[in-house]
Amino acid sequence: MTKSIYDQITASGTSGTDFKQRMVETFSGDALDTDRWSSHGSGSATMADSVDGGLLLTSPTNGAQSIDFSPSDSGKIRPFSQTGAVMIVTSKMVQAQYTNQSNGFRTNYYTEAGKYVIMAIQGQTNGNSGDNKIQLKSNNPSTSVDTSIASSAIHDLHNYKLELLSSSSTLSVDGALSSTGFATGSCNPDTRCQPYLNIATAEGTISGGAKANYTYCEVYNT
Amino acid sequence: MAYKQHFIDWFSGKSGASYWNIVNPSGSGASLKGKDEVNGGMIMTSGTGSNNNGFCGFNGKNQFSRSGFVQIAVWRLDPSSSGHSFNQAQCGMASQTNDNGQDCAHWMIRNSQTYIEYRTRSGGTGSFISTTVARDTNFHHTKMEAKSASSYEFSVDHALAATVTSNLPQSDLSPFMKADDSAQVPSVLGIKYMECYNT
Repeated sequence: MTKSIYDQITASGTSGTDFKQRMVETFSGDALDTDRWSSHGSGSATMADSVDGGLLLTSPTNGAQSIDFSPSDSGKIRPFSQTGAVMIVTSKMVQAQYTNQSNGFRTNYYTEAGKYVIMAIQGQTNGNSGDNKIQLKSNNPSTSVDTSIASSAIHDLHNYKLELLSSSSTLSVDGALSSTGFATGSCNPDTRCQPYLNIATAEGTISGGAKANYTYCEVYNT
Repeated sequence: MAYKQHFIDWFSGKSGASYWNIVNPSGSGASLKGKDEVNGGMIMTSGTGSNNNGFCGFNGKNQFSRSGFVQIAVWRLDPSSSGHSFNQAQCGMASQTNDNGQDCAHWMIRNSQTYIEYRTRSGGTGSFISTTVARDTNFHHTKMEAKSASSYEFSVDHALAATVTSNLPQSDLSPFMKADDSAQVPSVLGIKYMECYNT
């Protein structure tokens, strides 16, 4: 008997009102699905021609490239709850020098101010406090919580899970529930939010741009 | 058993996927866009002019067997509709490329009616039948299952509403959504999940 996917991911009898929104992106194919995603910046968002390459997000020489759900400021699409949502990302930051990767939830269009909670992966810059670290970061309130991932491993392929809880957020790297790959902070966005993936240069230029591969992204309300 | 066709859409993102063919059998401007609301999914709007009938389907690619399929959807007559009694939204399976007038099996929420309805048609024959579930603008879980070519089950909010054995489709089917405003713009269908598979 064929079973529905619906019945495998929801409790029996989940009502239409209680059914939670979900997005699953496997970054496979000829090009980024631009019906779903908007790409922002003068870099690029292309599919990699390499095994497990997925999406290759490339920043400009000095700046940022991101993808999210919002084609314009007036057309923001933010279906995820600031107090109950999860983002799972499998990604690899290619370079360690002058590169800053941030993936998570934001309330704003990319050119405007807003609140965010992110997983921040930063390479060596010019002595910035986040150098060579993977952190849980937010600006509501200002939060930077380090994981203990070794600096030598920050540009490896990792599985990241970012969760927005009722009055806090957590970051888990490679399934850690405590200790080395785990961080928690009392921070949340201040309104509904959208997922975004971002790669940028930090305190220096990179010939050819900063780069990150993404092979999976899943986001859902809890 | 060989793998059978299985379709799923979470309706998450800025707009509907390109596998949806969006047309206006009448009027113009039908669209399928993400909604800026927690758990809002996407909204299919009837159009921007008057007397719009917006239809969103698979452009006549009928990959689901009339004698053995399941369709599950979580959808609503979206509260951003104008609220006029002419507003209506439909979700289900049809064999046509642009409207649901012939072979079809689907759900319907009409502002002119007290209850959520369903309908099957064999050719052009078949009429709307009311459930006992009140019409509103909340999301509802609907399920249709073709147990055979001569028996379809309709369930709404996980309760069996009816087993239909007459006026069933004579052609294979594909999923569709429809928003029709009959000059009272806009009519808006909201949806956050659809799954179809052959059994």
